[in-house]
Amino acid sequence: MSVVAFLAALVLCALLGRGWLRWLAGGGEGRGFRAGLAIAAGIVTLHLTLTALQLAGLPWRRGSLLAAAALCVLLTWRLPRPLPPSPAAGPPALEWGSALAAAAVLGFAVFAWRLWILFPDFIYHWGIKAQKFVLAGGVDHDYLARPWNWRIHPDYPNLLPELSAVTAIVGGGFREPAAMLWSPLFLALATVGVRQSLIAGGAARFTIEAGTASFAAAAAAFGIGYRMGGAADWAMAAALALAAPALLRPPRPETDAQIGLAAALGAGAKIEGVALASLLVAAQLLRRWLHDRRIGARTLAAIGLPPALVIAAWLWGCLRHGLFLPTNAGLPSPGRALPLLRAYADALLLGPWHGFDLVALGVPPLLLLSRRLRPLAAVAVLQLVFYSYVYLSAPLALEVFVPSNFPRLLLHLLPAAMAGGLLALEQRRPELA
Amino acid sequence: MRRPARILVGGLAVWSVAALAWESYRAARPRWSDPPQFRRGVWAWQFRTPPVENLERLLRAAEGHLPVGSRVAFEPPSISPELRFLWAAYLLPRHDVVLASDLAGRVETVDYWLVQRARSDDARLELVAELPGGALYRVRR
Repeated sequence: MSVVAFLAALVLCALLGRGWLRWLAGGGEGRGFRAGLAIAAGIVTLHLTLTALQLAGLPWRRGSLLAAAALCVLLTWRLPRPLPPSPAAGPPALEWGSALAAAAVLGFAVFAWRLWILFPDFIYHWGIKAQKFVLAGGVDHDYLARPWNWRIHPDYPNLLPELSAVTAIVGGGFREPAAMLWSPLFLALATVGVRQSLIAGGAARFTIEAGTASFAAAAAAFGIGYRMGGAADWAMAAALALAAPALLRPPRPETDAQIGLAAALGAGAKIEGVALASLLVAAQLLRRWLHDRRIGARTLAAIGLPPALVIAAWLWGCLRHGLFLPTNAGLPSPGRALPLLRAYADALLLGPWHGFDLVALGVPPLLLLSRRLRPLAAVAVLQLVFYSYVYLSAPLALEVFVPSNFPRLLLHLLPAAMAGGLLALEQRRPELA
Repeated sequence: MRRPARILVGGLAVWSVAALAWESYRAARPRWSDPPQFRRGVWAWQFRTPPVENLERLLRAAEGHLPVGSRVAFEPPSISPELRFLWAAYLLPRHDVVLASDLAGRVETVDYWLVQRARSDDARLELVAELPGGALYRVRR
């Protein structure tokens, strides 16, 4: 039953997002990436639809949800394609690497669905919120605002608990196995993003297949070994992976929309995702400016509107109900820099990364040397700088704080590091700018 | 593509698949052993393991005595009380669960008081039921 509930929610997301493909896909994208874009767009649309229902005072029930979804589907399917598709060639057919990647995602899904790799934050954050939202028929701000609930991080964006809540509403009850399946779904989205990045970067067929398999297997190995079932970090990884192909291609209307979508997904997933969204938007706007010497209103809307709506909804909820925690603010303390480096070194030995954490941490700075890979590398490096800023400024003990989350924060950067690293390996001569 | 790069890329794929196989084996092995093994630290708690099942048994027994929406103070054992409280809050979503130590003695702010693996002799509390693995009290008004 839990699988049926998840699949029903997934179909709902796919239906909600399919209409947006007119803006998101230009013709050169593979079927997997197109499906990934549609599902991600559906997830963001669902998040905004739930927010609209809440603002209208309508409870999240199966009827109101389906009516709102039908309205969204009608609206998006009736809108015309804004610009003609790009003339890019079609992607190569799926081969052995994609099959291996699919097996890795499926393996991770089985472990998650069996509840063998439950991530503690599912209990402490996401799962408790999802259950409260189902019972309240919306985001239960009163519950989040209670003073003793600071432990469940009331100020985090609610996209992930909303997905679990919708799965429960559609499926007729809250079941942990169904909620767990969103993690492999996000891993699948990240995998199609990495594959499309390798295609967009002009990688050879062998690199595309090996790179797709490597990313999926490495991420799934970490997910199983570190027990990441139900974690929100998968959505962060998916956000950067879905943005990566656009950052590797010259700016076009569809890549603007892809960046806007990825930024919105990241912003809805975690507070760190708001930083990622800002970096993605800034990077694409800068690329647009360098490419065209102007930024039109349509471009600005495609890149900035989706994340702006998600961030505005999040800010509205937090500010109106006083949810922000005092530990989120502060200035960096330079005295914590050396202890932070030590904590990073210690944390790299933690977690079942099998060396891929070194890839996630070490490769993006090297990619800054390549002009073609620089936008992607810059976003990954600045995201890492943001994490370091948080560690330097938060009034928490580094020896506890860093090991408890740094290994999984590296998961966010892995798609960019692996896709970019493999593309750099492919370059026959160093492309130094 | 140059041959060394091809070998490196292929090796990366082999390495990652081997890592996945190893982690899958490590994660599945405790479940298949007889009896199933599990890590005891509260941070590592998983569903369908004895510590969580014990807590669930206590909470399910208490739930029958608690009106929906009532505010319940939960007093866990002293090891990792905050994490145990979060599990209790998760497992009792229809109630407003508070960590007892957060109340700093202000018992009157809650309706019920649930103690795990102990009893309370606080005069402001009235015993409702002895439960498997704990006791439930009503706050006297």
